[in-house]
Amino acid sequence: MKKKAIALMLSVVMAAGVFTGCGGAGQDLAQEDASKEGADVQTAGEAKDSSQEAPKEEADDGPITLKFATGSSECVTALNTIFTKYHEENPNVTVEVTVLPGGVAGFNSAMASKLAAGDAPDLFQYQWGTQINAYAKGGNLMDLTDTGIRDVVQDIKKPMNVYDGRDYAYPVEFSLWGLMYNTEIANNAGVTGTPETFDEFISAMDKMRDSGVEYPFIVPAKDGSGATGFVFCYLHQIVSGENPEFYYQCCTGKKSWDGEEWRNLFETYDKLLQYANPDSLGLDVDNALTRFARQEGAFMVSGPSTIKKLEEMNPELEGKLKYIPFPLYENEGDYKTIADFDSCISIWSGTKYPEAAIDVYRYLFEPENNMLIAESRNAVSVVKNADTSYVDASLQDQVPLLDAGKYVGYSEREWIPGIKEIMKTIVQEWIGGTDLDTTLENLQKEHQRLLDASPEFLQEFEELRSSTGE
Amino acid sequence: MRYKKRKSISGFAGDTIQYTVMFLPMLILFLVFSTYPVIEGVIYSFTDWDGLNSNVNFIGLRNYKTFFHDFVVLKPLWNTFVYAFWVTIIQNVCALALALALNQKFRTRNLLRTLIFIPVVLSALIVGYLWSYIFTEPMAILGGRLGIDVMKYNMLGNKATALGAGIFVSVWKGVGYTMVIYLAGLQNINQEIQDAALVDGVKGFQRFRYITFPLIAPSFTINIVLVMEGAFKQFDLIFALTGGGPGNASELLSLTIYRESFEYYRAGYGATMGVILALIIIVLSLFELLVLRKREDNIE
Repeated sequence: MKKKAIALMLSVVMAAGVFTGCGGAGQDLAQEDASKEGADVQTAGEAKDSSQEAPKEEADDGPITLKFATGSSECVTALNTIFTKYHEENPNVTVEVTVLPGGVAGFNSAMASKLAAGDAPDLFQYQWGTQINAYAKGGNLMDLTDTGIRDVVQDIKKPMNVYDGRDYAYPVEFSLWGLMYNTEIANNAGVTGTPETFDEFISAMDKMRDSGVEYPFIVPAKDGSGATGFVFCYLHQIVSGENPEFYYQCCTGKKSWDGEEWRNLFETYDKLLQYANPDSLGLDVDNALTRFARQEGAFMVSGPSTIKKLEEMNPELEGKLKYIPFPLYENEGDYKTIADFDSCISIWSGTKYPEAAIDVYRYLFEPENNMLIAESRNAVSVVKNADTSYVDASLQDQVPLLDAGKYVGYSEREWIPGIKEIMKTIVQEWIGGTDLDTTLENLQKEHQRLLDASPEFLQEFEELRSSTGE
Repeated sequence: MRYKKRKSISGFAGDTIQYTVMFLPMLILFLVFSTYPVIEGVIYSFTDWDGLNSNVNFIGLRNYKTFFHDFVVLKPLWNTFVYAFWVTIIQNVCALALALALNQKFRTRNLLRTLIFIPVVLSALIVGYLWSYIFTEPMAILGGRLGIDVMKYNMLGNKATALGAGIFVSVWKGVGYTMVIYLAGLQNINQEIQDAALVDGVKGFQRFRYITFPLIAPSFTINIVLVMEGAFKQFDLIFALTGGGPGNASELLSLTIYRESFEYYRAGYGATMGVILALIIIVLSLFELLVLRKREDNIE
């Protein structure tokens, strides 16, 4: 009996480890209502009110250390330069920069645990999208409406930074999304000019293959973002580009995730994968970049900041790389690029130094500072009338498209949180051999699962749409 | 017994106080860092908490009902059982073989024991990233040269082999720890019994089966239980090695808990999965302990 009791105790202690890893949520539950199903422990309204109360500054003249978290490691040097300059002008304020790695999903996961633990960074840079509302709704962000930044930045067409009529974030840079293109490999294969239509793209890859480049299209599908690089290009340019209502129609049942749009997307991807490395599911982005730097492939979907990284990895590539829109269109006249706000900055509502945080925030949006951040990401500054002459040569072909308004935005930024991560998993499954019908069925089921779990999302999405006049 | 009789009542009280004082710091730490999160985790499993919002609603057993109808859970749950089963078996077999070999007297045995134990002290994340590189580059190149397609195209990127690769790395990392427990068991065997068996003509595998293995039964019990519960809770190694991919081919339930909680913002549901995983571990550990203890008793 004694042995059994010890065994039971040991088993419980060992199993307890499952919780202790992720436990400790920070918020206390109201015990008196604990037994009542559906009872509100703290109302959303209360949460919102508490977020709007400006916390009191802990020290006015004493040394202040603010923490700034970013998911974009390429910005660190620029941020440190800006904050060093700020420290020289404000000797009592030091801003420490921390990188939260793991891409968008990794950053969001880390932030979720930091916010829950009440130990978030004072300022943080993250992806512009529905995430802002998710944070604001929880009372995690400081109201920035009266900081005056809205007047400084370019017009915000989709106000994803607005929750309940108040601004909680502002975009940092205007960025592009598309294909890295090695022109030297193209020239050696006899490809002249930049492919602008899908047929030209396929023809260019055929020529490259004939010239000895076995896999001209590098796909790093081990990482979810690499697996879905093409998927998002197609969604932005073709699906939502041609029908901006598409996602809303998917949410309301007029369109579905197993409809012809998704089927066409996967069929197009299938054609491209004929030219891609067969080990794509085992290739992560870092190793894919190494291959691209070794000139083993000519095309790869990535952000424009990668161009600089590649030129550092192999200086011989300087001047040979271009950043081009994914050539998905049937006619040259339809040729458009993808450009939109990419990241934004918010202030944590729990910061001990709200005034200092706001001052640093404003400083980041001064033209020369904003330009430094944008330049570090090979993007365009969002500050009105900013100088764009610094824009990298690899992006110069896109400037006329931007000037002519021939671009589409990031469509998925307004989608339900979590769906991108699910898409990444399902696309990997499909590349790994799952048949198309099952893939589309899984997409539909998973999206519905998220919608069922967040019934308020659709209402918020409709509010966002009505504010943009869609 | 005689000692107890000589103890005065005040002596007992003094000992009790002394032991309690010595025990108290550990108890407080255990309550704060283990019991409290467990209780809070269980409470949150009955809520719809999103992990960000302070608005938390009690929803009764809805999360538990969802779990048992959720198609998303099936694959990770299956993977977790497959992973735990094979890690437990392979790690124990390998560790026992290594322990038997390294219990012999030869010059380099201490060096070999140290080498085999080194992966145990490495961080699981480092091991995961290290093997991720090995599978991607050197092993793929080797596979290419040998003409083995499975190796050539990176085993971590193949739905059929990713979980197997995870099991291999997990065993590689943990076998040293299990081996040390077996070694301790082997060194506790009375040499006289071994010698008596030799005199009786018991040799080789027979000696292992009828003498050695029964006498290391306590080590076997503890290793089976520890390796199994560790495998059920595995997170960081697989996270670094495959991220649960490709797709969800190597996704364990612990990764699903992480995703539901922090990527899909369903922390309440994530807590529910945590409670269920804990219950699975408790039930299986109890079962193993009871069966293996009974076996030990029979041997005694």
